[in-house]
Amino acid sequence: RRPSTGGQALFNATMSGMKKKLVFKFAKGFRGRAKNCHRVARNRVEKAMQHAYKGRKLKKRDNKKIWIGQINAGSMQYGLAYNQFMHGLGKENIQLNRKMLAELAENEPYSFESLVALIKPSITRLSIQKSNFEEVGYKGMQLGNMPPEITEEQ
Amino acid sequence: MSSRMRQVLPRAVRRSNRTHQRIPRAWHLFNADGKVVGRVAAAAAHLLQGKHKPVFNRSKDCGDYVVIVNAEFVNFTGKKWKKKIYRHHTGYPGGLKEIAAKVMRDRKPERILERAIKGMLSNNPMMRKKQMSRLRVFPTDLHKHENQIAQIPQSEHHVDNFLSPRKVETVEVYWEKFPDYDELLYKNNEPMPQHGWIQADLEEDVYEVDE
Repeated sequence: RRPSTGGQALFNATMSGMKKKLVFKFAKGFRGRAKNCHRVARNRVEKAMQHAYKGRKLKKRDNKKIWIGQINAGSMQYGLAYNQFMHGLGKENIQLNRKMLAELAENEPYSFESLVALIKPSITRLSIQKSNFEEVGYKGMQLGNMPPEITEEQ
Repeated sequence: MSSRMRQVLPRAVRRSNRTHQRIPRAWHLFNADGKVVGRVAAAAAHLLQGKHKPVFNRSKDCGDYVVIVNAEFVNFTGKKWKKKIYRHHTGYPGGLKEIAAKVMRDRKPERILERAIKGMLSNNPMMRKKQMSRLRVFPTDLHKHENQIAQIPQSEHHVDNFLSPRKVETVEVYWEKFPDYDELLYKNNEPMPQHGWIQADLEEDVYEVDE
């Protein structure tokens, strides 16, 4: 058979089409006999590729979860919950995605604060989390106040 | 056998190379006198996990210290002091121990809050053990962490966002530098700016002078 070039095309449909050398190349770092014995390695490599396929899709979901939590933490500093923050951004037609918003919240706090100031007029409800800390007898971190509105004159 | 030697740096160097990943931990104080157990526990668990930080990630333990004071005087709603039962089994036959919340308060009041918070933390045993060790519950007003709570950590990287006051001049100029002027200034015939940082060009006709 002529060997095919390219990434996906290197592997034929069945595991028997994949040569031993390639199997062992994939099996580097596996545990015990799975890296040295072809019969064991072949099964573990197949499983590893299944896990990788699933992981490529899970990675996108997990990262989005993390970003949303980080944005929530960043906007809570101004008394805004994530849902209100995103609603305000949508109203002002700010197309930043969650990845960038999380990075702003972490590394560019003043830019994030300016976003909060931009959307403040389009939001009617502030979140309850800020007041819960007072109910609960919490003295410690001082959550920042909302920055004033940006009007057209300024 | 490869000829490349794997380089292992000394341990001190390896740790110092990771300084940009270090997250300072803050100390928070809760006064539980008369507050509801679940609400205190929810807020404390939120802080112990570090979910109030924009740096939050479950892969790294970014939680803070929480000190809860007056745990003896915490409150349950309804009839829970009588009806809420803490159960555990010792492993021996007939060894089911049932302790009412009222009795728990007499024996060891810290356990009520500790148990509530433990159930609200993640199930990962490594994380949960570490985070619970950062929780300090005291039955009365006295606690031994006054030194830690007085000092707020300051670092170059992250903590400035939410703990220490902002220090950038541009922000202060925009929002705080020009408060409302007193009447004295108007009486002394000083020009009154319309907006803080824009010098308004006022005409002499508009400006009345009292003599």
